[in-house]
Amino acid sequence: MKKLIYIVVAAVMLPLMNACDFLDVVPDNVATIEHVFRDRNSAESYLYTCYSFMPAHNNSQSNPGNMFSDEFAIDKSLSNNNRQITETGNNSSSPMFNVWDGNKSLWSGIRACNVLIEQLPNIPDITIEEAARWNAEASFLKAYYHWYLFSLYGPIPIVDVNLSINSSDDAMQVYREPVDKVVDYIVKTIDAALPGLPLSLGGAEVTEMGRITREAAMAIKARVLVTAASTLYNGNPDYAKFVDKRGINLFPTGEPKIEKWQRAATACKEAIDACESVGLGLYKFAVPPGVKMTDSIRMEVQPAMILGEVLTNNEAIWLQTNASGIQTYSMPIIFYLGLATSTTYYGASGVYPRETASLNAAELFYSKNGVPIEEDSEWQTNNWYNNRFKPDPNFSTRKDHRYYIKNGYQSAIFHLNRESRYYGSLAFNGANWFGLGINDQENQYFVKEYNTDQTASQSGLFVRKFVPYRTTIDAKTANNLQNGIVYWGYAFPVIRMADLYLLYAEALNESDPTNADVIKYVDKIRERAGLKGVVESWNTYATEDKKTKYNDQAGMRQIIRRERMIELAFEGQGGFDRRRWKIMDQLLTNGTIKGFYPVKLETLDSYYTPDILWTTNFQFRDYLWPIKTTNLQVNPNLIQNPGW
Amino acid sequence: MKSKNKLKMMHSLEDYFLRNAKLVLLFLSLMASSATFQIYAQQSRSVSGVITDETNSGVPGASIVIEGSSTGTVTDFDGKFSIRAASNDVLIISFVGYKKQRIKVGDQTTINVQLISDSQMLDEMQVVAFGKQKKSSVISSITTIDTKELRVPSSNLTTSFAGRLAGVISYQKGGDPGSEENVDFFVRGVSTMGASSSPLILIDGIESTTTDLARLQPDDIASFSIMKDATSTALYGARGANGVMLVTTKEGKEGKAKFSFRIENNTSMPTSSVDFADPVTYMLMHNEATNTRRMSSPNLVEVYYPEKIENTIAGTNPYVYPAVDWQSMLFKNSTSNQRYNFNVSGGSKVARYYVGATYNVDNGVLKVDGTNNFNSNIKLNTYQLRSNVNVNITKTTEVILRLGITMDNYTGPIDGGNGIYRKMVMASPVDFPAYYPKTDELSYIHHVMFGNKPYLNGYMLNPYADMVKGYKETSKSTVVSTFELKQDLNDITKGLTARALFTTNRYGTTGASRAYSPFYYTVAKQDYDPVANTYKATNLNPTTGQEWLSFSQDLPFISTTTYAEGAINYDRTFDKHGVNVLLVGYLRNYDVTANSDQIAKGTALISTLARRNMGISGKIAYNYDTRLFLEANFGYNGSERFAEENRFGLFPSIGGGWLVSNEKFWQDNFIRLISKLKLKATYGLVGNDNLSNDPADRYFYLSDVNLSNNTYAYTFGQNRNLSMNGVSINRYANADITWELSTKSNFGIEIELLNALELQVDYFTDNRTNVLMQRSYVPTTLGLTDYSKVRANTGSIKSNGIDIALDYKKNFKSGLWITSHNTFTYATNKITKIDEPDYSATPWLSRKGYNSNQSFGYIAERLFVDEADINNSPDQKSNFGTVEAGDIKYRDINDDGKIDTYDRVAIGYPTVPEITYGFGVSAGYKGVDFSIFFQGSGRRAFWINPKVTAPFVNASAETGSSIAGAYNQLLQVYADNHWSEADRNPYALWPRLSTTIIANNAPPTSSSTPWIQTSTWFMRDGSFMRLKNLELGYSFDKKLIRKAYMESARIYFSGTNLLTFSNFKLWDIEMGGNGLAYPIQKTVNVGLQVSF
Repeated sequence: MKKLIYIVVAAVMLPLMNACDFLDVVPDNVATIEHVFRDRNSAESYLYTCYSFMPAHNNSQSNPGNMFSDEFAIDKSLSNNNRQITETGNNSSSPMFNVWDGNKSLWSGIRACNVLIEQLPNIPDITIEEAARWNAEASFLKAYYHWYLFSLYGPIPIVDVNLSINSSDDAMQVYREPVDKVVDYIVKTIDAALPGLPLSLGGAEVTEMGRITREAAMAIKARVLVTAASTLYNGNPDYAKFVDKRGINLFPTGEPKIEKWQRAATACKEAIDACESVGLGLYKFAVPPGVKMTDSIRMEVQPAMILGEVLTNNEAIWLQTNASGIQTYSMPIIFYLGLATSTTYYGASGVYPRETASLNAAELFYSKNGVPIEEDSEWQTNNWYNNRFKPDPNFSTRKDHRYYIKNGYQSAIFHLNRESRYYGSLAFNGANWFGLGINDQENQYFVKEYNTDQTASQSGLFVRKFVPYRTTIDAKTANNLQNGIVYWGYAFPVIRMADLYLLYAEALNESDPTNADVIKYVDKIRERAGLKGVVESWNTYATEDKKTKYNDQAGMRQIIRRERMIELAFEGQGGFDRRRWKIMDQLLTNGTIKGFYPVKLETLDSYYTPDILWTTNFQFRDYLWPIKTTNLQVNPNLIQNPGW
Repeated sequence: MKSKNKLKMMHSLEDYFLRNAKLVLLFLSLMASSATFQIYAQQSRSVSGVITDETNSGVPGASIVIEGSSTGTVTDFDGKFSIRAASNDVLIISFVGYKKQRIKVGDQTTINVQLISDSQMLDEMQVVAFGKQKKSSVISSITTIDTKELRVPSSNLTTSFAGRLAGVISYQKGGDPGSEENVDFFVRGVSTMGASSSPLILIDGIESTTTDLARLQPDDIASFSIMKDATSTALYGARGANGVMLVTTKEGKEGKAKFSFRIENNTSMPTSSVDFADPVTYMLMHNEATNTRRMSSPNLVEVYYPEKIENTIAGTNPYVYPAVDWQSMLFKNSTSNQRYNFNVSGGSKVARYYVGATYNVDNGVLKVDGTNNFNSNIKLNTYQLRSNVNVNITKTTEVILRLGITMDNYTGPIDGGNGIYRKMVMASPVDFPAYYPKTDELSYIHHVMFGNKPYLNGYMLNPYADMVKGYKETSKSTVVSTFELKQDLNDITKGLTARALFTTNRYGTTGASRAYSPFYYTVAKQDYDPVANTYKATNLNPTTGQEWLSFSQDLPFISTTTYAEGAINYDRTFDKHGVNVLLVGYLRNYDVTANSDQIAKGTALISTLARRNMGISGKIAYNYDTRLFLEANFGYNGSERFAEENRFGLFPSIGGGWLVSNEKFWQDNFIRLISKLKLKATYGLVGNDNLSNDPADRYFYLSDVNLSNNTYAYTFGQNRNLSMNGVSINRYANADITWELSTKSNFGIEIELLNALELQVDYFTDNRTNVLMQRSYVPTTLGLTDYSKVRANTGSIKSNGIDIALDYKKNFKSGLWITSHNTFTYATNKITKIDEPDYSATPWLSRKGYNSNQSFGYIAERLFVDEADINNSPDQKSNFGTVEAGDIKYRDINDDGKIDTYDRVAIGYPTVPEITYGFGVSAGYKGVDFSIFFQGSGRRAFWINPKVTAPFVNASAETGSSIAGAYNQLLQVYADNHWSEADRNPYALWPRLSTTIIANNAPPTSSSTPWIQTSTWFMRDGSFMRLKNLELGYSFDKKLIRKAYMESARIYFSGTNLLTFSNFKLWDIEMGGNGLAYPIQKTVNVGLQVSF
């Protein structure tokens, strides 16, 4: 009897005998965070993780420096944020170009850098030198992410060490720190990283291009300090009452401080010296052997090659080497009369060009005389300026623009007699397009915008700067749309020498306006673009009232800014520069984005009459980005930027 | 007549009763003879009478005993009796199946007694957790339902739940045949804001899916129970908190083979169809939409010219000026479905069997195109086999084998029924015809010339082409096999039994699609000759169209469950003390294959690890004289999801009951009026270990990292080719995470009046704690990525409610019978603790105190009248962008002069109804029977989706739809009632027209902030009542059909969802915000049921 009971009990309980093991279903070796820092090789992926938060300077659509300016005319169909940011303005409930929140939040990037810095001592097989370099890189990136947040949001919290997930609410509810404190933190952190960073990659470019170097870190530091000295942050009365809950002024109050400019100028000069010491300078495109091109074509090709030259480029200080695809939305509809006349080519995935340049940006480029077209006496006396949106009356006999404009094709006065960077940075209706597989200057592709049967582009002006002439179209396979386009891949510079020179000139003009270096460094840029120096150009070509514009600080400031807007057009600096100069309101408050919008069956006259593509809505509050309101609910110590 | 009735009654009682009746008779006659002496010993006289049943027929063999003595007699064949008794004696009259009655003799010499049937004894065994229990002793809250009630003409059993099951909140969301997501149901409502609020479904004790339940045949179901309170669910421990649905299938009964056969044919059609504006109105309104907002987007060029509109009106040429009614182009008015069910049961002393076979055909309402040789309409064939065999291998050992096989074969359009419907509402009615007819000169073309128009880099949406271009086949199969051994251990001690069960089942599904790429044609402007009215269609995609079919196959999905259970049960009554002890141990293992999504995301490894749980559960029940009941249960469970030290949990419960009507005083005084009165209360803990619906996100004690995440990749090198993926942390390890804990209490009362009306009322509370929540106080500045947000068991939520079942059953002498089944369920909850930011300054934002399904949004006041109105109102432009006259004006809750997320408040009822009710009557007279059932729900709000219904909007770009070239159609109600510059009605149904989504009026596309502009403007009351079921049946005369060897035959006509009562007319209200989808169907059904 008892036996039977035991048997029954055993039968019932048998399933539970192996209880302990039964629920252990997770095998060993399931990936956990501990695996990352077990050895140097797996830890290396964490270094890449730290870099992966880099804001996409090389993708103009996701770069607020491009989209939040008047440089681009974005097609409505592209994506909500790109055009809306200027058309309707940003909002605080779901901000556009939000780098504060999300999976690529820069705060997550900062956390990643801190994790790497914390874990470096635990990696058993890493050399001391490499650990020092990784540490310096992570520290620099941490500073850079703080800087990028600063450049959008202004005063931000400083996260120098990671907080534990179990931290108290008080510890987590951080405050925004004042502008000067943030800037000092960024500069201090970069300075501390400098010794650990290599001075130039020293031949390791093949594998290491894109990693931060000492001279690049110095250049970024220069940019940070120039920004901090600029009008928006230095003596800006608009934010005088921007006080946080502790009663601390988040913006410096009082008059602009010239010391900030001095500090910036010094940093610029130090960066220039460091860069030049490793052979960096202004890149000049040299005609490759076997390619025949006149100097005008060479100059036209140059702006895109400054970005696009890979091997012999000595201009880029720091490059963003991850995938870009920046060209794809910029490819215009191209006709080549040597091939089947109806052969047309589009940009990315067969869609029509959606990331076009605005007429606003096109207006900025100098005349061929190196002065603004509105200040060029030749443009005034010939009435070119007033009639600039008229079709070119002499197109049929004109020979002098034959490399730039399709021979016999009627273009507009606006497109004539401009500096080489105009033709190199932009393409327009009738523009010749050297390259794309046909390296023959007599027989180029050309752009046809007017009266095409293709869906229209937004402004009729294309950002040619993004498309190096070495991008090719295989005309034989490209019988339809995008097939056959082989993009010439390149890394996009986060900062390049021309930028640094202009930063230096700008800082020096503010801190020491009589210093000869001011004009000298601007002239370096002009010389490379085939223009005469500032003094000679204005003296010779400017209208009477502008001839000595360079003589006073304010005039020179305008010249430097204009030079910067032209030289760095579309490169992502435009929006940031216009904001720090605090001129965004002049450009975009009730402003308009203009372009040549093709409507079928219209006349050439009406085609060249600028269309208002959209009106812009810029308000004072837009100078600083809105913090998504949910953040303010989660952290009551955080306060919103003024006006949001 | 009398004897026939009796026969029928006897027949309907089981053999059990017959056998017992004989024993009782024998016993009583013995007692009677031994009592003879005592009768003479007392001063007594003769008392006689007739004992009758409810139909006034005499009851033979009823026992009459004088209380406190062994004197007694039994009635004769006519129910008459005679006994000698004294005036102060009390006669106890009893008969199997009827209630005991006590009659004082007094002065009476004739005592006629009508017996009251004891319904508790008729269906006396009730299915409870891990076994059966006498219904009278059940003190927990369990809803059982007559499976006939669940017999609805649908291949989805769950559609019958609403209103029929007390304690179940249920509503139907759509009507696409073969879609398992048509019905939502919750036991006692939603009582958690955690990942899962679905009940545990057990079919023959085996954990099953909603699909398994949906596919069950009512004919095969023996019992259907819903366990709602702590005592009934505690044995399921960490899985019982959301209630348990327990279904058992039929088993064979000893006797000759009984065949039953049922055929149904039904016609189904949408309960209501959505009206779209006619093509001309569409164009006119489209022009209006384009022009009325030109200021903000000056470059809109897509306008319908007057010439096109005029020619469309004139009907000049339907292929050049198309006007397509897609709805009638794609959908039929109705379709027909068939159902066949056959079952046979019977057996001998040694073996019993139940075998059922079912074949159902459900068809969709898509039109079939003659130009293809394949049929892309939906057809869902369901085949089912069920075989339950019980074998007594020894006197004390029973072996049960259960086999259930369900096979679904589905064919349908590539997009599915819902997909085609969605495409239909996004197709332009005027830009191209569905297809061009072939003219003589194009007779060499073999393909269909579908109409279309270029759109960006592709084409516009032609739903007709998408419907007919191919078809999808999926097959699903489920095999459940169970082996069970029952051993009677009376040899050891009386009342001891043991049981062991082993189950394994397989579920597999795979599918394939075959489709061609449609050729699209268009008529260019120059190709139309208006004078001759001739046109030439040109091919748009000569290189990408394809006449022949291509093939693609779905990744197969297979799941396997293995389950073992062992139990010992001790059930014995010592005199007045009834004792029941149960101990169960079980193990469950569930394996699945990974789906393509998991493989793509790299989460397949974790997702496919076995899901396991195990536990011991036990019960001790005691009753005193079937009057007082006490019960204690426990479940001790472990789940593989938690850290080793937190893996097991104990879930105890206790309960007590008092069957007042079994008390002597009650029997003496009230039993004729109130034949049953039971009071009961239970209290206990139950758990819910289903903390995440993502199978990859379950081992909370481990960190979840992706060591090779290309989102965090970077590239270095001159040639930009030195890439390495980065590391992302999806979850930080937290060993403390544990199950939700539910503290349930239940107070119930069961009353039966006059043996006919039974009322059960239960009041319950469910205090859910430890609800896993994302910790919301963690600021972004901490640097955790979105998907590595910290979670903890911090939430609490309190639910309460009431469920009522009222049943009436009465057979009248005339042969009329009436039954009525009515239920009412009210369940609500209130969040008591939630991880949310500190809202003390803005208390209206807090979810605390609100229902877990409460929506928050803006209060819409009206539409803006003009620009000045906008300027004088709180600022909306800052946050919503474009705001023009005719756009929605919101209330500034915090009076800060701008509308932002601080102005959102709780609006409307919860999205899950708080009330579900049903009522109905069935009656029969002679051969005719009739039944009617109404069902409804209340306290539910839903939102018309302002993006999906926004007319003319590019659905591909702006509503997040993946369908290319799609533009929302115009609802007739919007055409009739919208704000326009001419008619500035600030209360128009639809705001100012637009061809783009106006963020102010509708939520932005961003998926990370869905519905942030939810407002009262599009909020609707979801309460409704509908005529759920109407049935008229006729049973043929038995004499007549007996000649055809049939035992019974019934023909019936029924209809479901015939009428709906609600204020909402756009579509079937039960679909709520999901209205523009495959509609809920109403059916008209004819059936024949034969048994022989």
